[in-house]
Amino acid sequence: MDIQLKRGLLEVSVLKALEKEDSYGYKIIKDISKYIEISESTLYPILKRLESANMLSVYAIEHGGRLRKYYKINENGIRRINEFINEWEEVMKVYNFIKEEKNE
Amino acid sequence: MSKGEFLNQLRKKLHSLPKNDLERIIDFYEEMINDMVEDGFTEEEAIQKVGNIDEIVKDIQLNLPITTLIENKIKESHNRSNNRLLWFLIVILTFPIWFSVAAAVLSALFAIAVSIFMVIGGILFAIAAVCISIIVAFAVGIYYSFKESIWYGLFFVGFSMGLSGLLIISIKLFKELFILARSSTFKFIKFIKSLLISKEN
Repeated sequence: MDIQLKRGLLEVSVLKALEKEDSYGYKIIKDISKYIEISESTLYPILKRLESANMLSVYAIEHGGRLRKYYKINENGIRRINEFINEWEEVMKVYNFIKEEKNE
Repeated sequence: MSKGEFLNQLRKKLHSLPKNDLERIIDFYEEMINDMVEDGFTEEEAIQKVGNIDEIVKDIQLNLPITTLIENKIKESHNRSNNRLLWFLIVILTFPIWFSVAAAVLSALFAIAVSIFMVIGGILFAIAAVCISIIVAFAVGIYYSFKESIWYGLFFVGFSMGLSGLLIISIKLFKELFILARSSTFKFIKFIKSLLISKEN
């Protein structure tokens, strides 16, 4: 897949995973790997970017004697998800058109 | 490799980063490894999954702002030279050279920024002017079709329509050009960043 495309998809996928509930690094990866390929090292820059874009915020909770970082989606993040869905309505139209069987 | 070794190596390779960012990254990966171990993986397996240290470092550096990369490069060369005093003297003695080069580069960048603003301003002004012409021609057309002959008026109305069409086409064109210019700039910046990075590792 095209790198830029994948990056965009990953960002929105992470946001979506957080829309359902606040989550932490490893859990996010487990949740979205069902749908898109993501590695542990790719996640960090994505979370960092989303944080600078003010689409999520971070807080920490104690877990088993250590601090675990939780990520929480913001208004901007939710807006981004909806933007994505709208953008891709158009893409889906074209996709369906291209996938159509030829009618002889 | 143990978790401790992995994190130490990572810390070493990222030593040039600001302390804050460095600690956050180390914490992130430590947490990731701990979670994987909790999930049932061995430390070895977890470290394998987390990925290659050099790849991680490269990814992080690519996402740093370009100014930080340049700062780091300068710090690197400072630390390598053993003779700080000599370096300091060289900087002072060559002041006329590097200062004028820096001034020239900055002026060039400033000129580029100004010209970009001028171009955008010019385009906006032209669009505004065309819109006004369209409205005026249309109004004149209506007026003339009542005052003089309808054919005369129709000419002006048709003219304003044609002008609107041309305007729409050129706006679309400019939008494409703008998008192209923007993505080329980003690709260019990424390229420069990778030049600054690859030498370090």
